[in-house]
Amino acid sequence: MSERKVFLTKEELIEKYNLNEEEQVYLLPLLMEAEETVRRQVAGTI
Amino acid sequence: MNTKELAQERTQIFTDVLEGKIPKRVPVYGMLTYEFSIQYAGMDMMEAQWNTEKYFEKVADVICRDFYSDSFGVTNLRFPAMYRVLGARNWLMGSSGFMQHPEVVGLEADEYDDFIASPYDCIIEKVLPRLYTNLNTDPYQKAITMAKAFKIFFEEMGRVAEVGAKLTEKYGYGQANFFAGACEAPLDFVADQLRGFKNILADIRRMPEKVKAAAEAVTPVMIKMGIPAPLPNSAVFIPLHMAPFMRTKDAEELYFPTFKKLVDELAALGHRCFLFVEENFMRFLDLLYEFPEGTIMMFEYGDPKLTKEKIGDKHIIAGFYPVTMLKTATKEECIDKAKELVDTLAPGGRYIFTLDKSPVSLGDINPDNLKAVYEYVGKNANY
Repeated sequence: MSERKVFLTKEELIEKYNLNEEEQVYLLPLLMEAEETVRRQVAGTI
Repeated sequence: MNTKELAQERTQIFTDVLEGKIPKRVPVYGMLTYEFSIQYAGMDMMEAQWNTEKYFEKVADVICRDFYSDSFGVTNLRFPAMYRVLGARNWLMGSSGFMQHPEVVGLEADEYDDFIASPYDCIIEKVLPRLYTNLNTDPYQKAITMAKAFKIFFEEMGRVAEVGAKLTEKYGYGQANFFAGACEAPLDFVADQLRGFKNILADIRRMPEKVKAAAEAVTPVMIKMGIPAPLPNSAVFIPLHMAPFMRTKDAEELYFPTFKKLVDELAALGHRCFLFVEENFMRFLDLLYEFPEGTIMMFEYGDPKLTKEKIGDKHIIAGFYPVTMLKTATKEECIDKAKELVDTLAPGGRYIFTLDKSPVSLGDINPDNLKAVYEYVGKNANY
């Protein structure tokens, strides 16, 4: 995974935050939503 | 009385107390943590901590149903998903699902001068990257990480507010929000967030002038941080930490001047403070008396009678009810303690019933005792 990469895919989030199975159920959706919201916001301001 | 009339009465008793008038009865300000509430409601701690969208309302509704309070009384201040995004070292979720606060150092001893020269810059450039590992990166990635964390923070805070409003209407709670803003006494901020408990005590001995200057430098930041949301009967929450662990002379010179300035400035801006007077502040009652009139002070330990005599004609007293008693004593003994505190602290008004602190976990108390105590005060502490 590139250190410079700002927005992460589902697989990259699991790797970056070292999410266990339980966390992949409860935490991953929150992280994915935050990624997507901020990505859309940044894209909208460029 | 229907829930609307009940809500009006409850709001009025809070308003009266805050305005220094004698209310119809003593308000009960319930404060139970989300963690305690999850356990009481019998839900899975880990699942409910991560998934507040699904669980916060369910959990809070059980508490509102079972525990008397005159205001919405479930607090949720630490959001694990936000800390995970930031890579926090200062707030971690333990294997039990409880948030842990390890001792961390955000500012080294030889960096005091940088902090004093420009506290905000120093926090952004040096402290945050140490406390939050995912902010230890280039400015662009740092900004994006902050945005993701804020997205989660506002969503979680919004959920707490939304559920609070919904259950306030359902249960006829009064409008009173003593967590409408939050900040720290300046020296507590330097201790808790920058130097750590052990280091600050050494700094106070070795370089008191630096500690004093750091507290002075960060005071404007704390004033700005404390500005509360515009809510009725609101207050700015300030938990107090270091003074009881300091020599009286050190506390007078290093702790209280900037702490008082913070509360004075917030009062000048029209904001009341809600001080959680942790540990024992009895030797500082004369200093607390000098704070702006109507400051709410929730005491953990000390002498309720002495406190009433010394500051009760000017400030609003809360606390003193020993949580530990709810674990070990009988229901009758617990109610008798509540009677004793009401008899001591309620005369003349300026008193809100609270525990001396919130129980952290279900094992800290016998919930039936707490129900009996809240119910007794709510139904019997009339003027």
